[in-house]
Amino acid sequence: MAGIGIFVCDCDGELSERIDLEVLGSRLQEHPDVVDVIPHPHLCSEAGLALIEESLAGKGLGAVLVAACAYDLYDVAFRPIMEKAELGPGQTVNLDLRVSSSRDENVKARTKHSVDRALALLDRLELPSDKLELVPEEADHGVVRRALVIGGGIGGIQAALDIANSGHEVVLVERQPSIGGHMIQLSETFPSLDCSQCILTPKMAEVGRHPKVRLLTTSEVTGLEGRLGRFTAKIERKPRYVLDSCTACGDCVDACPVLVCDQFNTGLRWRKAIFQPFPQAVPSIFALDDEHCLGLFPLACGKCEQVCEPGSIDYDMQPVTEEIEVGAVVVATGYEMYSYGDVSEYGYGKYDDVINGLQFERLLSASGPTMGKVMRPSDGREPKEVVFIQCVRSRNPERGKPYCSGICCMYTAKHAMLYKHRVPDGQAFVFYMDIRAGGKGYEEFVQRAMENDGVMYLRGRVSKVFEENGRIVVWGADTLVGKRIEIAADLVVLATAIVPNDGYESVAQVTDLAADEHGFFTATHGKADPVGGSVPGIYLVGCCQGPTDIPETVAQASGAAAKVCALFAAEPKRAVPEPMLAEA
Amino acid sequence: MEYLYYPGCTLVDTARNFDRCGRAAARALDVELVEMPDWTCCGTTFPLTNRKIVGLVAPVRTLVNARGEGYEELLTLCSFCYNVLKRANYAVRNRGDERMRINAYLEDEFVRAGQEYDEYEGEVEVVHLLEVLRDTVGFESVTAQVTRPLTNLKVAPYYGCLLLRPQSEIGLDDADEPTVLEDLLGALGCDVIDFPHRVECCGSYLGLSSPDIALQNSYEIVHTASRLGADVLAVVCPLCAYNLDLRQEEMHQRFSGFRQVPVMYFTELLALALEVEEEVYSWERHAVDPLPVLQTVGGI
Repeated sequence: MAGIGIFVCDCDGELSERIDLEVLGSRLQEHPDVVDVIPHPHLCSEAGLALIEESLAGKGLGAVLVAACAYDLYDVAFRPIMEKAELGPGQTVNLDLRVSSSRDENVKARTKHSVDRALALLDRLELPSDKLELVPEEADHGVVRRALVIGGGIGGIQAALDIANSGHEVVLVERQPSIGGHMIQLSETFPSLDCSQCILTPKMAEVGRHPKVRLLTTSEVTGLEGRLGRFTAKIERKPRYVLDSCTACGDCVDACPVLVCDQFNTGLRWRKAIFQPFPQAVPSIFALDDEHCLGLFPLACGKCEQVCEPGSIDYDMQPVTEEIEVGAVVVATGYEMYSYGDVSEYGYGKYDDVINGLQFERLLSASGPTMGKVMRPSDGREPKEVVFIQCVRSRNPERGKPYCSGICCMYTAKHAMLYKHRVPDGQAFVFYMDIRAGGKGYEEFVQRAMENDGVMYLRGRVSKVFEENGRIVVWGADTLVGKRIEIAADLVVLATAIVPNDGYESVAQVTDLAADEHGFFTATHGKADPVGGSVPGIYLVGCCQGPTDIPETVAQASGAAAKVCALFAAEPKRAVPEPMLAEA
Repeated sequence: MEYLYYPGCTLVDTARNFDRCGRAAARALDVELVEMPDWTCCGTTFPLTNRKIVGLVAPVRTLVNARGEGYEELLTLCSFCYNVLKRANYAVRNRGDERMRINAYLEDEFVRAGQEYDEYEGEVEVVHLLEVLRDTVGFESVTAQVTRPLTNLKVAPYYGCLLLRPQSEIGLDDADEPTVLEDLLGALGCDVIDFPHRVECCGSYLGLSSPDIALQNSYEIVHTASRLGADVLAVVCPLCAYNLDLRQEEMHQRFSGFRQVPVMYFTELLALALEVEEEVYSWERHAVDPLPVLQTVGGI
């Protein structure tokens, strides 16, 4: 039986400097299907290409893994040779060694990373004798013209809309009961101060009603097999316990006796066990929180079912897993705020009046728990002195994350500005390390906060935050004047680091996407292909690949959508091979 | 259980009460502290430049001798000794060139003395009594053995810096949000104050070179404790005790409205709660006498 051949490129010594290619080769050689591992100092050279061609002809390889550069190079340099040797997309795969080599670790860890990724890719190869390839009905060149989008925040919504508006089917999968992501939680957006919900809700409604978009909320992707152009996604649809006939009247909410901490409002309010996260939710169907509902097991309550006029409550709903064929995948799983665990910093989690940036967004939001009125969580008083602390656990390799979270300089300026608009006689202080306002109109926005709105910017770090006599005392330094500063504040807002959404691990496992040490997915090429994931046919959008603000996320979403559409529109690169019979 | 114990210079002299109460209280909890024979100075401060490698020879010699005594752990009470020994051990374990150079010094010394020498690779673990109480004895067990709970005694816990920093090398507790002292004092029944200044610097050696700056630092700590209604300030380090206790007379003269607060080592409170015999206490060593408040509030 024909086995797998592996070509390993050294890029003229650049790769072996960072990855132990010998170990990589010998580990892959152990794979039962691998017949040969062939190293070469520069595979993309004439000599390298000739070597591949000879090996393909001479050794009768059934499938090939090329461990070398990014996928776009593979496409240009190696694919024609593969096609000449009649190896289809299912029999060839590219491992981008640069993804592993760029990791900030030691040689051993980088080598292990490459071996793990290579083994995962080997499992995706189909040896010709394994099965006969069937020509799918909906595609004439082996590409299923349907995209899967994972994550229903602004990135996922935009990508889904762009693909769907190009005429292709999209399956949009979201874990929460509604799409909207973090953006729908925000009050107003920098630098234009337009309302976040007003920008997003039309897009949410459009994607929810789009004839080409199949929206699956309370669902998760639990499996992804196959390859570029032909993936089979396993999607688990968790029970919502509320049928589509729900009219969102809200009678059930009045009847429900269970109070639960409202995560959509970042814990600043309570909600019921049956709920709609926010009034503009898409789909506009309530959902039952089965962790807290009393009526599920055993039937102890049932109050919501009794009052539901359309009879939309179904306590017996079960999870359903379905398999969907797609040609490309867009991952837009987003971010979450750094979680402190047991150790609090600056009194977060210890004092009610120390909150994070996302919580302050909810306090500012007209649809938030205070209807946009700025109040202290502890006693509801209007804070007259507010301290904003930037770079909390960001740019902090020792105790937090070494990277810059990118969005905090801007949202803190926005927070301070909006606070001053709401409380003109209040004082806002911002402790900063330096201001990173690199986007269009961003620097002017920060200047406006300082000059027009009188926000006091103090360059220095805060050493301690503690409560005294009902106020939050902040100790810091103003390094520009070289003085220690003490502020007795009413409210402290921490611009905490953002980290990948906790779902990234399961997505990484399911998709085989490479992630860096912080959990951000790695692009095939940071400059030449920033939205391409490390697995061909999977694209990355927004904060799942690194801290990104809204405009950048939307741009990436449109970029990824263009890549998907290009793939769907491509002329057949090669006909699906006729099944061949092995000679006796 | 038994630990090899390294008292250090201050604990056999000015901080004798810290040492005696510690040993007696440990014994009451079935922790036997066996004093290391022929111990020498720990080196007092950890040398921060790698040119001063010779400053690491003294602490590592102590660790080598501890290994020679057949113990896997070396217990200390003084924050300075703990910090220097633990960091020297860390250097040996993690910095190859320093390990090599320190061992070369020591090998030379041992061979000249006609003794055998095996390269030291950081085999001995440096432990503080606080972590033994927390991790091995357990605070619940401490509470169970307390015969005179210090209820009503409002205590401000004060860590200082050397017990916790640098966190990556010491690792006893979180350097900014530690809990071990609060947990111990809570186990003794004390009313523990949420004390914001608990990890601020007391002024340390500036007490000698720039006494005014050190006094300002110490004053802020004591004054806050006093303002928050502390009956006692609990400390872990002899130098903190010097700055915070012995200089209160000066604070009293310098700052108006200053109210004195007795400063006590945590081992003294531990011994009191365990009702250890009278001889170990030496109240006369305190500049601010803790007895009045202990008698009126603590019922002692």
